[in-house]
Amino acid sequence: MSLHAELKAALRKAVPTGYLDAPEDLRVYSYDMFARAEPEAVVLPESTEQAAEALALAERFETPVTPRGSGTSLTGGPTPVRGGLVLGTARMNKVLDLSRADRIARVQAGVITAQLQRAVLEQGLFYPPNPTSADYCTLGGNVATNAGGASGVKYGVTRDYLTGLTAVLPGGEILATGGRCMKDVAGYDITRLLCGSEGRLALITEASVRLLPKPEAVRAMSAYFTDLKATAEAVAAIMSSGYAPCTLELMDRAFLKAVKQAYDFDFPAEAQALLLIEVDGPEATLGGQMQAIARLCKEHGAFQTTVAADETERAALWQARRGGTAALVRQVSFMVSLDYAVPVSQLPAAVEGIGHIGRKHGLDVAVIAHAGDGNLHPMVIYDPSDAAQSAAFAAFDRDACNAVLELGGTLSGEHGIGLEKAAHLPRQLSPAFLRLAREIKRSFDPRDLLNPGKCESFCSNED
Amino acid sequence: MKTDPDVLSTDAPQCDRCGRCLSVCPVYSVSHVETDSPRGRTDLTSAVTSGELNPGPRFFEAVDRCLLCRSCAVACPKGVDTASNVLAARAEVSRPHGPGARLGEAAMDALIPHRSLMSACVRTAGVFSRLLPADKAGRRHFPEYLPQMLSGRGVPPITGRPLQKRLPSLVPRSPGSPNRGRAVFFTGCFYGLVDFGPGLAAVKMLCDNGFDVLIPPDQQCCGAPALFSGRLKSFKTVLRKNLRSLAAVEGPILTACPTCASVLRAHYPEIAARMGGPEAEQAKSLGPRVQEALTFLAGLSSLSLPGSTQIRSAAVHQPCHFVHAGGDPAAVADLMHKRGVELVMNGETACCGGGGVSSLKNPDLARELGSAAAGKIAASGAEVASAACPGCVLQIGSHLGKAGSNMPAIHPLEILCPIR
Repeated sequence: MSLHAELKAALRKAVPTGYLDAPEDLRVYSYDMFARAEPEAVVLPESTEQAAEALALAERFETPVTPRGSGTSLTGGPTPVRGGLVLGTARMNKVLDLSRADRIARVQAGVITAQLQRAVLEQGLFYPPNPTSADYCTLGGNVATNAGGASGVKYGVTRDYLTGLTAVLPGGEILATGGRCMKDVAGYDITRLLCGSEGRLALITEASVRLLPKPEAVRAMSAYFTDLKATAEAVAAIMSSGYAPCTLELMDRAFLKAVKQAYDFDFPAEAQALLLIEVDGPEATLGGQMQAIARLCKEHGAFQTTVAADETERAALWQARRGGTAALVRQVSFMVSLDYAVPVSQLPAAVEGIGHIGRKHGLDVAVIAHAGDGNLHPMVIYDPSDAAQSAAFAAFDRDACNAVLELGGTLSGEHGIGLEKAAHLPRQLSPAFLRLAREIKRSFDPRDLLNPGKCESFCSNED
Repeated sequence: MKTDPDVLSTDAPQCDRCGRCLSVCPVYSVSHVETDSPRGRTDLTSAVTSGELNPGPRFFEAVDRCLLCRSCAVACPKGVDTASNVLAARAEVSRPHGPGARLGEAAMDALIPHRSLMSACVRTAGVFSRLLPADKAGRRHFPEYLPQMLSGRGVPPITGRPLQKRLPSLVPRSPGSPNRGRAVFFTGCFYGLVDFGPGLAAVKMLCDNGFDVLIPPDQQCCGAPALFSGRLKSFKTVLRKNLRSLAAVEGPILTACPTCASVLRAHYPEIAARMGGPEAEQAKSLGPRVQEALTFLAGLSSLSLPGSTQIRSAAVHQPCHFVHAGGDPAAVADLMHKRGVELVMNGETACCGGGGVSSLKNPDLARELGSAAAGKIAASGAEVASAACPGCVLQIGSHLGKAGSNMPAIHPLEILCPIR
């Protein structure tokens, strides 16, 4: 398949330094961490106007457009399964405005999340959402997937910081939503509707986000437990205690073993789980909070709690958490990282249930969790080329989805739906929800040209 | 692509396409094109290896634009080494060649394994370089109308007589110094043939600290230019010659050039192991003996630093082949502190784009990265810029000059042990 010659020529003219269609370029714009599908051309616009021109042309030639940030997703979201164009935002990478007075930053969609974090920190401000891939994912991608991360327990997710967006609608019309006001109830909240819409409704090109004052200090602690369910109970207890940790990460023994091998990260032999706990705020208040949280952990079975003495010790804990997934996958042939969330009170039941389902189907499962907000990432180790193991994984996936839903949970906390979760969604969402979702999709994108083939179960045009 | 077992390890870890490497790749930071990313290059080289992809011009662009800085290998949680994949592709994938490229390769094959010929060429070039125009700071530049390849970079002053002609092959330890035995000095081409200052400083510091320094007369180029351009046959020739020269003598092997250090230490054992034969064993025991001189000196107990320096402050750039191949940035800071030089900046600059062979093929990249690094260094307000790598020193010096700064760029050894 190849693009209409007239469209090619027009795209080259519209985005003169950002049009690619060599086989090598098509190949490297085919993937994320989950899937592959090659586009017929890649465009890398530098402005909203260039992007709008590309979308107008795509509509004229009935060509699908798949938006892409850094391609770091785990669900196949930015893979162009119906061909057409990949529209990459990497060159729209400017922080356009940063106002201390308004506590607002306005950025282009291709700005790297850590780049924004650093820029605001220089002004004594703080942009809290912190996905594990913050050093290389884009803010536009964060908005499109409503990315979360470890700071969600205290500070919420990307959606909680959005005050306005600039986006391009299929066909090329430019849409502005919200603005830079903290309070804004003029009209429907389309800003938040677009957040998490996974590139199905509009192409996000700019975002305005609100900023907080930078916390004076942060302190980290490790707490080791001999029982995974007890660890989750400690998490629920901390969350009901009235303290507000800014990090509450759970890592199970399988995960810790991998980290130990890869990074020489030592942990007590009897440990079944580790909690990485952080509190932030005025320096004077942190010691007392850490003590109280350590006490709660001990009441729930922690046998060792240690406050990180300095930034080096804190960094070692974070290296374990951030690098652990890769450390694990380095040791096994294949692993899939899943994403569910449950109300935090149900976390003990959820970790117990996941472990039980894994054993039932004879699969090795490692569990990590952004535990404080009930967001679980079970990692299932199996060989996809083995038919029996693949069948076991499919059964695990089905049972785990059911278990999570029974606990009042959701099938995706932060990774999104993309291709990975599309088939499961109707089990969670009501018929009325699904009907509305389809109608919303149709009113934004009547010809289904924007990121087609994704989230199909709930926003396909075909009734 | 048929894979050469000498170059490409088959048990290499698989890339999971997580994208972490995008955050450290200097080339991606300039172009923001996935084809220019480590993840992209690794995907393309493995597709060509498996026969899934027929390599076209964009494939060769992708592998040629890699600066081989190895930042991605350090950042990758799975240990995927894109530079190795790129080297394998450069060595193994046959490409359409223009006559110019063939001539360049023939010249390289002739010069790299033959030091005396290379030395003669460098001296001849020295005579011609004096005809080039100089700026106020005394740097000589290629005129702007010369091919873009030269990217307006300055020409290093070529000092005429090579280091080995200035020093005896065994330099005895300084009188009164404690006897610490013998050290072997590997000059490298740049510090051996073009600019003798850092080598002289290294040898003097070693002698002052009680080493008898042997400079083996039959040592050759380390082979980096051949290895990095995919000229594996020439590389193996110098590898054999250098093993003959270095394996026979005892003592730590030190060099002022971090690229030489990393090639001798890491690439020699890796490639010799796959060649088999006696070279495999020799290279295996040679590797751990090789160290970059600054890191070695900083590790000595009760270091002696005679003399003094006029320089009060320096901005230190950390070369990629220094920090990603066993050099210790803290060692440089430590030595500068002992010398009484204030470090106003230590390693806050990204890759300068000097990148040897790659920078000549990709002047646009080299220019953009060079001016970014030099801009940061100039703004630091230091008296001198310093980098433990000839490529970085040239690149940063040239771009400082272009930015209108008079700040000189020198090797840290020349600050620690002023000779000229």
